[in-house]
Amino acid sequence: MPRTARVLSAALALVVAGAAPLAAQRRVTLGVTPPPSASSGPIVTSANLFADPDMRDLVRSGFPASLRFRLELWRVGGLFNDLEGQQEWELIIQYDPSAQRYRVVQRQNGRVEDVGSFATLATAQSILERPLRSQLMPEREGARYYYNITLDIEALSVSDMDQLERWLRGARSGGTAASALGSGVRTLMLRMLGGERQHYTGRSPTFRAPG
Amino acid sequence: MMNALVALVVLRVVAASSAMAQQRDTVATNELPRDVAREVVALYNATTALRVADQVEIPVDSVVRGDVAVLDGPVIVAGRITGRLLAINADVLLRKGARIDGDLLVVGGEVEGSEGATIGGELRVYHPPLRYTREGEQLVAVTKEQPTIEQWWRRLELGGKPNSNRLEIASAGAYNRTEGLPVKVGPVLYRDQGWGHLRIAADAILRTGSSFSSTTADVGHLVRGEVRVGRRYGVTMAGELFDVVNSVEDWHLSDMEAGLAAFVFRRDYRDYYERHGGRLLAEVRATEHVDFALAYGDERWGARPTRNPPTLFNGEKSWRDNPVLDAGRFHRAEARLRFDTRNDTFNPLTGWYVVAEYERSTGVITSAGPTSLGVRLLPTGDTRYQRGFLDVRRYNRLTPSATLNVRGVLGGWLGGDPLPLERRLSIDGPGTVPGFDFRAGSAPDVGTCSDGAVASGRPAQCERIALAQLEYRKDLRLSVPTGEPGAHRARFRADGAWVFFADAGRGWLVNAPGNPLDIGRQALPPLSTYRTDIGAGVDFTVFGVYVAKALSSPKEPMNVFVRLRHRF
Repeated sequence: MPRTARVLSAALALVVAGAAPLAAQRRVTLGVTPPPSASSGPIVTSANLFADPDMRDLVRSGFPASLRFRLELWRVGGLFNDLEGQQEWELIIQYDPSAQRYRVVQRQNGRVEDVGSFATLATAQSILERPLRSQLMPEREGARYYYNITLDIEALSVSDMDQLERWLRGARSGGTAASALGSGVRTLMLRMLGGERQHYTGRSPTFRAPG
Repeated sequence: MMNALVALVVLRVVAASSAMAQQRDTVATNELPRDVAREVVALYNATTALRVADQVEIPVDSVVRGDVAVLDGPVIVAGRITGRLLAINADVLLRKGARIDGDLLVVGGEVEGSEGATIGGELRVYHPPLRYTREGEQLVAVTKEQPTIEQWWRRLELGGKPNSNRLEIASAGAYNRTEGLPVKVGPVLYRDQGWGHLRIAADAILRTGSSFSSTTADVGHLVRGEVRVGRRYGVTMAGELFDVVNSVEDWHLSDMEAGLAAFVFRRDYRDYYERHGGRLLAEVRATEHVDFALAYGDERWGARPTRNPPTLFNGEKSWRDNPVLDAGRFHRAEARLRFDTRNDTFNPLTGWYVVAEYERSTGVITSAGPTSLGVRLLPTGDTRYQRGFLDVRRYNRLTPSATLNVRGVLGGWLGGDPLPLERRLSIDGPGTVPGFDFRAGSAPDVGTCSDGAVASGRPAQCERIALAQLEYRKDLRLSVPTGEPGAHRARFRADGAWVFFADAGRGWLVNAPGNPLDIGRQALPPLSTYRTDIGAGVDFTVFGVYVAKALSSPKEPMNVFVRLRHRF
């Protein structure tokens, strides 16, 4: 079955291309701790937000990065689970090369808040990774619930021309022409497949809503 | 009130101590962006209704008509402000039921109680205080030089893109066997007007498969001007002049899938025709979940010849012929309603996705494309038809790690004369019932509605189609550890889902008496005549690999295929 073989080999190549950057690196982790009482909300935690070296390079090169969080509260039902509520917020970070600072902005429900600006990406990252207590709480006492947290990280305004310009500027210094070409092809493939937007999920254990 | 003020003071102290704790090792800056400082000062100096340099309280039932500016507050609002509230170096406490019709802009302070209040405009909060001096009644900002980043910051706040005049170079569609890669090149003018935007784009469309090699210039164009009122929600009015190549059915596969299949494997899953004309469009986005569009156009359609653009593999094989479709002139009125309550468009777990389209057209067919015998009489001359298309998807979460998703598609002829070939449909290929090979069904073929001799390229000929798809997805996490005990690293890691699916669908004719595929206008085909299949695969979100087996034709061999993103 030559067609099958072709398709499978192409799929394998894509898997390898996608898996390679994940190898030997820390991984973005998301967590939600259910509320201990009826009066307090769940705590959202995140770690290694800039684990992807490509994204780290983009931010360090001055491209704004958007980290869009969505916390969902699901109620375990009879046949289907019901989405009882959700909360979204977005953190945006950009490096200002002239001031040599990383500025962080939070957007939520149309409200824009200036979180501050920081000297290093690690510092900004530690601010972004601070545990957050949400006000998304179960409504039905005694019912079974769980939280779902998703995070989409993407570089904003990265056009192909920007990418090309970065290559021409030699932003990926230290590599050979072949590695730059390989990296470029992989980046192009990832962009074509939507891989420039990184999607992560996490889930809390199922719990009973406290009374 | 005292409690609230104490709470605010405590909040500030906590925030300040927290910030100070950070500053010890984070070196956070507390500078207000320069253009924000300028904006704030300008707004303060221009405010006439109420300008106060002290604590202010607007009691319940009282109304301040116009803008309010407060310096060194705090501000407590229980009543209504018909304009903007500007608080400089002041906290704002909004009582339940408080109302501000305009923007709320806070600099050097906090806002409390915004959940129980109504704010008609934007809510912006800056923690760094404004540094200022006074010149008489006027404030003057004291700022440090802060270039560049503020432009990005302000754009973000305003929710718009920067005004620009630029040269656009972008793909104009999927790679295909009649154009190669269509690339649009041209100037784009964009103006953010605050209330919305104006955008004008005039693109030439260059085709890698024909623009540079044919003796006659094969260069298309797309000129579009649009006015949008509103940002997240609003109305868009647009006008277009175009000379483009369109696909007959773009609902089976995404542009990316169709283009990659053509470019990599020389398999083009779509058929194409030329469109030349103009149209007017109006689109309303009323809520987060609903949008509605109307369009009216006058356009000429024509056949598009097959070219020979290069591909990565199978270069020695010839392309499937692009079918010769109908040529003529049409006046088309179209309406489209979209309803989308999915929790996530990228990876939906719950919600509805519905697209309903209605088209009413009149025109003249000057040259009819060939079809299989008995599909239609030679349909040249005046024509008038109505067509509909409905795609309904429902996503259901069964457990925290499993979903059950359902999709139904109905489409085709609703009234008038038989549909021109460009508006006909098929149930064929990996986007519909993938257990059956693309354009390979035996007569009578309920996939493309051909019986006996088939027309070159096997065009979609069905006047109506029905498709049902069901899939069960279960989370899959693959991880190969490095072998180091206690290490947080993995040699290989991939998150995805197992997918098990079943599909059923077919097409049929309604205006072809005597043809075995004609079911009539009022009837539905018997369920036993539908193409059915089952299958399974692994979906890594970005792409999935699947195996499908036809059930209704057991002799069909098993098919292996790749889809980008989810199947639906």
